[in-house]
Amino acid sequence: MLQTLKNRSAQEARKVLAAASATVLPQPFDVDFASRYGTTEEAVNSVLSEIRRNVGVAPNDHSRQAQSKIVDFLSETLSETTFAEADRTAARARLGQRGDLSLGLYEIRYVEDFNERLAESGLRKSEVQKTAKDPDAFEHLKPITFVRDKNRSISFLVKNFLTGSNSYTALIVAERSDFFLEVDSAWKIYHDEVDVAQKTPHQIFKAFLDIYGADIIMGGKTKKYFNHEMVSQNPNETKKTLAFEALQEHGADYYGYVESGGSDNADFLEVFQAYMINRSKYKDSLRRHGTLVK
Amino acid sequence: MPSHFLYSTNVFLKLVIQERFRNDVHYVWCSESFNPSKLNPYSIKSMIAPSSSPCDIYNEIKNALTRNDRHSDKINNQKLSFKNLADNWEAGGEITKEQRDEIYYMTENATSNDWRPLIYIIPRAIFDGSSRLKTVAPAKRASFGVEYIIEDLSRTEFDLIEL
Repeated sequence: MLQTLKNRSAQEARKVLAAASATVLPQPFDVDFASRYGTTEEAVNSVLSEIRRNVGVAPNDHSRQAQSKIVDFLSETLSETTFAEADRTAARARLGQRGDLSLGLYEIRYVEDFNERLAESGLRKSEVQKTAKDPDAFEHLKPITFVRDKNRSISFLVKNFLTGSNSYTALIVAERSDFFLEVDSAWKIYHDEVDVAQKTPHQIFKAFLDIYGADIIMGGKTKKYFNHEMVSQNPNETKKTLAFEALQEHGADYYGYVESGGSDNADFLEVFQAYMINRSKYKDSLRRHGTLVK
Repeated sequence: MPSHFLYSTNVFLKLVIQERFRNDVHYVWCSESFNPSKLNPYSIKSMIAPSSSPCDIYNEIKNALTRNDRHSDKINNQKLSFKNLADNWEAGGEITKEQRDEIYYMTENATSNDWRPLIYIIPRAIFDGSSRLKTVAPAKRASFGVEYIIEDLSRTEFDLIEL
């Protein structure tokens, strides 16, 4: 903490530092920054003088190197003084939830039974980790949700593994919550089975569901994929229910994902995501391509 | 004769900040020539100092990133500039404290990709008959050449290129 700011309130310190920053940065017009930020020229000059002493720059040194040292010190001091760790974490969480955070700043984690799902995906753990850490493309769904009771959104990450005729794309479906990406499932999508060319990660997932997804009937609609849609609940019941039916092949094994939100007694629920993947058909495809799978 | 275009070099992070927090309205410092050093040395248009030359700024940032130097003068200036903008906008009630914090966080955690320079190409004709193109005061310029400020450039009013 700068000595010249020691006896000032946090709010006053912010004003002085903001004015000092504006003073050292190139400005196109003459502005009285001290007044603009609600502080005094004396306070600003005191701070700048102390910074010069701290970084070892003479009062009359206006060289580029001197300027650079002052700017660097001011920038760090601004953050230390006016940007608390709790605020930093909260900002990161908000950016992450919105999908506006750089991918490297998300924390990757895996659902509890992911190892079992991995065993049935045909992918190696290293391939999933590579896809999560260094994807070729990713897409954060940023829907306009009608229901706010769940702080969860979906992100897709993909990585191509080009191995000639057996080339495939590893696709991860992750739940995004604050700055966490929780890997829920991973799929090995062969290029000779699903056309992935010129497609975004979400489009690749939809193309995958076109082939391996089962038809789902909800709220009078029949589709392979529900993505942030309002679905009507059964009317005329004392307790409203979300009617769900999947047209499954007899004897086939399915991986299902259904997440919804809203009030139980409302006429409509928001279905965040709903799909049913024919895992038997998927594994047959893996085996045809020489992939060993459980 | 005035140039047909105005040029400004800005980093990618600035584009994102203006897009997300300022309704995609951009504040740019620009000049009539991308590379004043290539002009007739007796022309006033050539008298733009390297520190204000879009070409020199572009190359300086690009070279710093190639050396993996995210603490170059230009980038450090940008970091402080974004924090200052955030404080300024919050003080003016134009953004919330949460948004100010988000700009701080993005600035502190920016990657090389975020610092990559972009060239804005702005058709001069869109300012004909308007007072939107403001001349930087001579005392505030780096040299004799004319520099301009546009405070309310809409995203539809400029093109972006990377070299």
